[in-house]
Amino acid sequence: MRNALASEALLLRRRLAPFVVGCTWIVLVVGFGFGVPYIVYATLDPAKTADRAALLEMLLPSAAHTTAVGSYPMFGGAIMLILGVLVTGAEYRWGTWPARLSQGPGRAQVVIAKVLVGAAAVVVIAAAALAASMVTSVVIASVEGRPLTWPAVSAVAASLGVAVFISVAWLSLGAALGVIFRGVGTALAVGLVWTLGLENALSGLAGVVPALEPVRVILLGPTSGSLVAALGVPSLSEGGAVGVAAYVSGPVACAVLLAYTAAGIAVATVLIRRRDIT
Amino acid sequence: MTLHQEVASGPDSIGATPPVVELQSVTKTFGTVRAVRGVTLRIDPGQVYGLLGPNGAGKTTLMRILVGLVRSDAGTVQVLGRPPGDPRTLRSIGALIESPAFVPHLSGRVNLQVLARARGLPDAEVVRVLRAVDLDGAADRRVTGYSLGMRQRLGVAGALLGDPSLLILDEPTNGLDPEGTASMRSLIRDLAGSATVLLSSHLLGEIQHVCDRVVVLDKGAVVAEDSVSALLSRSGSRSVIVRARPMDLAEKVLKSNDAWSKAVRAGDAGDPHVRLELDGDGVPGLVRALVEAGVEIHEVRRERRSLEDVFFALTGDHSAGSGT
Ligand SMILES: Nc1ncnc2c1ncn2[C@@H]1O[C@H](COP(=O)(O)OP(=O)(O)OP(=O)(O)O)[C@@H](O)[C@H]1O
Ligand SMILES: [Mg+2]
Repeated sequence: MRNALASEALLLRRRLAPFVVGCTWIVLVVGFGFGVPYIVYATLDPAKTADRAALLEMLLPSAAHTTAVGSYPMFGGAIMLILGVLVTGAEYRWGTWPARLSQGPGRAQVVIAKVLVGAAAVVVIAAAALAASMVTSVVIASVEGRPLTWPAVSAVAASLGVAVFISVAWLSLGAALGVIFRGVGTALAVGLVWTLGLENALSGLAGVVPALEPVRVILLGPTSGSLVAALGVPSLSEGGAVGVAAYVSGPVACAVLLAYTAAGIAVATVLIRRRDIT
Repeated sequence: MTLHQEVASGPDSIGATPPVVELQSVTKTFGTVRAVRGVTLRIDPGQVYGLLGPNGAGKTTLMRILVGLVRSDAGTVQVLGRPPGDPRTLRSIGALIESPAFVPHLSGRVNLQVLARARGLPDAEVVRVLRAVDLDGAADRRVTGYSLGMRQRLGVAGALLGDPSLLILDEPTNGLDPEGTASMRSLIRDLAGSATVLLSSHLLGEIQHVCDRVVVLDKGAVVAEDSVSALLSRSGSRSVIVRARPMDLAEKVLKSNDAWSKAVRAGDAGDPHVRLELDGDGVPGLVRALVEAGVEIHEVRRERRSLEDVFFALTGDHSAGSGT
């Protein structure tokens, strides 16, 4: 396993994918988590004092970590799904699976090493996005002349943990899709249409048709949103981010996300082990 | 090397060296295509084996089975004393199967480093194999920019990582220039003795020069397995070529005798000749008959067959010629 990890770590480090995905995500978090809300704040009718205050509150250092994690249930997850697809699917595009699987490490080891190394990349990306959020919030605070109030370290750590937890579930799903569809294109299309389109449509429908509500428990997006909500991050209806809503309890959300992670790894592993590699 | 010794001292070896590869009635079907049918084969250590066969004969599939990438449907496969795909076995095998594939935007060196790490090998080993295939100059360029031959060399370098005791090379000279082909030949000859080499190629001359033994596949089945010299003498010894004038008369004389009636006209208008199967003591009688009929004999010679002729005879494939 050590050899497989060393090999996959070198490969991912030298690849463009984690950097492109990571930078894209940082730009998205800073742009849509802070930039756009700040512009809204700046252009909001000064008479709406309460609204403006609430909006600014979200963008200051004391709340930067929750604002950052609030962007994971939908967009962060989708970004990590893309990374997951690239981790496994690109090997099909390059035709490098045969070489990858004939060096010594078993097939299961190679697949698991890929996901583990991808998860390590996710930790780095999530930490970098959090750091960028913090820096942005400090800039906003100084522009607005607000005092720098720092959140508790434990709260920051918890939000980073939740961000990673959600990301790894989406990453694993992506990795499985890359193997299922033997490539990047179809896997990406299916993954994004499913999570961003189908899941949202179902979840929205469940809001209207109560009989459908239990379906939300098994959907990746709504459970991710529920886990973030469990951190105390305001939901969309409370002025928070898109996708954040307490559909299920924190522990249930945790369990479902873990199940996605496990299922993703299992499906990818089983398929790679069973198939002829040509 | 070490693995051979290890296997040789194993419990199930009594006297003779155990085979590197042992296949028993191996079959592989893809959907309705029977790519490999009932192959029984034994590959002994330290020799260079040539794997021949027309396109689609199952050469690549057989090699994939040996590396464990493709699983056979039936039969038993043992590679270096273990089932194929076993991690310990894989570390002792170097393989280049079909066209070499690499991560295009990474350099040749990094691509090999990724493979070396998976084998637990240091980067120094990458430097060694790059030098062995004469690619150290281009090692830090992206593989996208490599020529076909450079990619092929990189593929061979990858197969050489860790000094494998079994080297499986699928058309390794594909795309190589004459110099590259020659150095590949000497590379393989150098490896023989310390390693066992299984080499497929459509360049029959290449195989004839490099290999000790040849396995001929046709439609998924082994149609011959022998030493190169035995194969060459096996089916080449009875062919006689006759050049005479006038050709039509010579042909008429030959056809009139049952013993020679299988004679066939060969060659083109510029060099017409007749080819027939004939034992050595039949030649004087043939010459006499032709001379008596007034035919002028320019040449009667026993044809020295090349591996190509043997190949065509075995596979019954006269049309395709040697492809790539
Ligand atoms: N993955 C696959 N799926 C379906 N059919 C396959 C697959 N791999 C090989 N085949 C079929 O198996 C047969 C043998 O193919 P193989 O690649 O082993 O031939 P080959 O001897 O290597 O030919 P070539 O000289 O063209 O390289 C062919 O008919 C081929 O179409
Ligand atoms: Mg082939």
